[in-house]
Amino acid sequence: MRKFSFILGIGVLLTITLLFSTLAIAAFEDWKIDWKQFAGTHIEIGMVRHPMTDSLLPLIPEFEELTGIDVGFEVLSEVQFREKLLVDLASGAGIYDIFNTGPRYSWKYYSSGWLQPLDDFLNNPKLTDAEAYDINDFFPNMIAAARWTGEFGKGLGEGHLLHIPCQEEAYCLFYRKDILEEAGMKVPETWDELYEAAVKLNDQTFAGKKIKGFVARGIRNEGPILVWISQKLYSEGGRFFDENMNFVGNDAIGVETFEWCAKILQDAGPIGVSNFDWYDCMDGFAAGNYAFFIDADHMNVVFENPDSSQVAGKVGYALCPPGKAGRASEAWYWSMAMSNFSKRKEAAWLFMEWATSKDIMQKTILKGNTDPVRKSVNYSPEVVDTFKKWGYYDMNEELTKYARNIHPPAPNMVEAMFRLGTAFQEVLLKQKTAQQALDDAKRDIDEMMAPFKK
Amino acid sequence: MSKKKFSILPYLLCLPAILILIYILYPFGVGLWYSLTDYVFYIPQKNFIGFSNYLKNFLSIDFWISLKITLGYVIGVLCVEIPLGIGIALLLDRSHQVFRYFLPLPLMIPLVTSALMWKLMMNPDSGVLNYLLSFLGIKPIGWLAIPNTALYAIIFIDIWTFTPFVALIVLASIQNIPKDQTEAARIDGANDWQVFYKISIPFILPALLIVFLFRAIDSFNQFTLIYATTQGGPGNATMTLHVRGWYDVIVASKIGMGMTNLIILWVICYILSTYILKLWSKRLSR
Repeated sequence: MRKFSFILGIGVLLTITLLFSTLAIAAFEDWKIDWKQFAGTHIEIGMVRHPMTDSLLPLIPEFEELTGIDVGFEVLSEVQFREKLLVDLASGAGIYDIFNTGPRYSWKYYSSGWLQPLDDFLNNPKLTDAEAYDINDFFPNMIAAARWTGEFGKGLGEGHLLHIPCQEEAYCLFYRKDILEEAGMKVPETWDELYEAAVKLNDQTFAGKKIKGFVARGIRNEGPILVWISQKLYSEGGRFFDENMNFVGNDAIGVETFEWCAKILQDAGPIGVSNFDWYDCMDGFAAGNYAFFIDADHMNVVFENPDSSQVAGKVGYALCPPGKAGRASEAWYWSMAMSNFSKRKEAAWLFMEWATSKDIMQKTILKGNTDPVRKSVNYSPEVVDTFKKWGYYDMNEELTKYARNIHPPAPNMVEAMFRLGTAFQEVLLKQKTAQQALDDAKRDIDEMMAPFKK
Repeated sequence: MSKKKFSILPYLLCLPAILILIYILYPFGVGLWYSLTDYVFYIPQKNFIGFSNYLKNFLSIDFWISLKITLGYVIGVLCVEIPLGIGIALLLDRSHQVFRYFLPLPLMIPLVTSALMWKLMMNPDSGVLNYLLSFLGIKPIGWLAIPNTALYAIIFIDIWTFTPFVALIVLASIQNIPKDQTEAARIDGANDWQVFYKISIPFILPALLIVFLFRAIDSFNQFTLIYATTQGGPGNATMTLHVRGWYDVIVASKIGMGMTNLIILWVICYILSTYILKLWSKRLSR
């Protein structure tokens, strides 16, 4: 009898599992393509350690069942991932068929001949059900950021589709609602107000904890330039490059921006901020150490999760303050791209198509894959309700008006931004004046860009 | 005139050695070749430019800063590790056996792990180091985050990790000193210092030279510790030649320039090791 109930139990369990996986697959069975056409193939994916990846990994068995394609993957932290990817691509080894990337990096990979443009796969009815996949469901500026003609300094938004966005980040001002309330202050509406508020709150004690006024990335890489210094520069009407791709960031606005950014970190930032990458800032903010923080908006998932955050429910979200020329925000899109050295490109495309479909995007969104890149996901009741509950700002307003790729396309834009990050650190550590640091950066960046101007 | 019979055997016997030689020399040759080109990742075409990279490097202030930092690192490490290692070895020679088991522990931890462990402990906000110092009334210090202290902090981690290595080798050497010589010296009225200076030091000198060579080359080439803690920052405070090579290739995509830095580093290590090995064999033959 006991044996019988054991077998019955197993049977019921199996049926339920099968039922669920069938349900999961059912959404894709209506598609007008043959999902099984590459059954038995193996593909390898290189992924970056990120909530986006964590939310996708558990769903991969569904894809394997749907297509019969065997998926191998490797997940590494961002810096190590990029280094390994660089070695894989530069050597032409073709270990990864698909990898995570985004704008700027894909410009470099494409210029080096390492990237497979995706238009042929997207437009092939044997591989893509255009109606079900619906590329127009993506926010237009995100697809635009993924297209480039390969021309130096221009052609963004046209030409080949280099990658497909999976996740969006623009840059916002996080603040502690409870601290501002206790101090009787309002949310800063200009950059100067932000500086004053940060300095005023610095080293004050709230709820038994001594806090620092402001934090943002200070590490020597391209991050600080892209996630907060650019916001300030462009909102004040400055820019790093002119129409002819000459570096002009060492003008008065550029110098003033670098000085302001270094000053707020020196006067109201934590000790050792020159070594802070995004996770250092994020962890510290989630631990309740800081009053203000500028970085990627998708960190809301971390801050609102009581398991990972001591400030859940206490965080306010605002757009970065406007300057003399209005508001500005850089944007980054974690994306999937295909290696030119892949020997299984069509099978790899099926995975990309599946992973960026409406259904999968919807499933991953509240498990950490914020912010949405598809309109249907962004406006689904589930997402709208959750964001409203967090007091999250109007995504649509931000996405359509401010967030974009503000730097012109060039194969070595990442390197140029890294050089600028070094210059910022020189100012932050008081090794050079802002003018000196930017003049030196101009010399190097103009030299970097020179081969493309011929 | 007798004609020697051709035999394939000697060549076959040499084959593994030749294969290994190719295996080592091929990547080296490629690196050398890249250092003579203007190879950049995002421009697939590469041109031969002779010694331009070397010339450009020697004219750039960044290179000399890196060389200065590298030398500072090596001197800092050697000046502490060698005397400290000898001191520990002398103490261990006279102390209970049990202490010897604890000595190699830092060497057994993977270098990246020790680097990250110390990085955590040196965290200005939450690190245990600043917490302990706060009892002495010392304000929090940004060990790895401030240009003035970052290099010393990494040298400190290096010392913590590798002093046991020096001590182990020296200890083995000290224990081989013939007891009759030291006893004879003592009967003749030599004090501890004289015994150490006149008998122990000359006896352990060959071992010391080898330890010195190992530690010098390792320190010239130190990458793991610096990469795992500061990646050459803050500013360029810990940008040694090896880290600059990495920076040029991986971050700045300039393969040619990066390889130039690494080849220069290799030349320095090669000259140093040839010189020290010569000293060593002289010492041994005496």
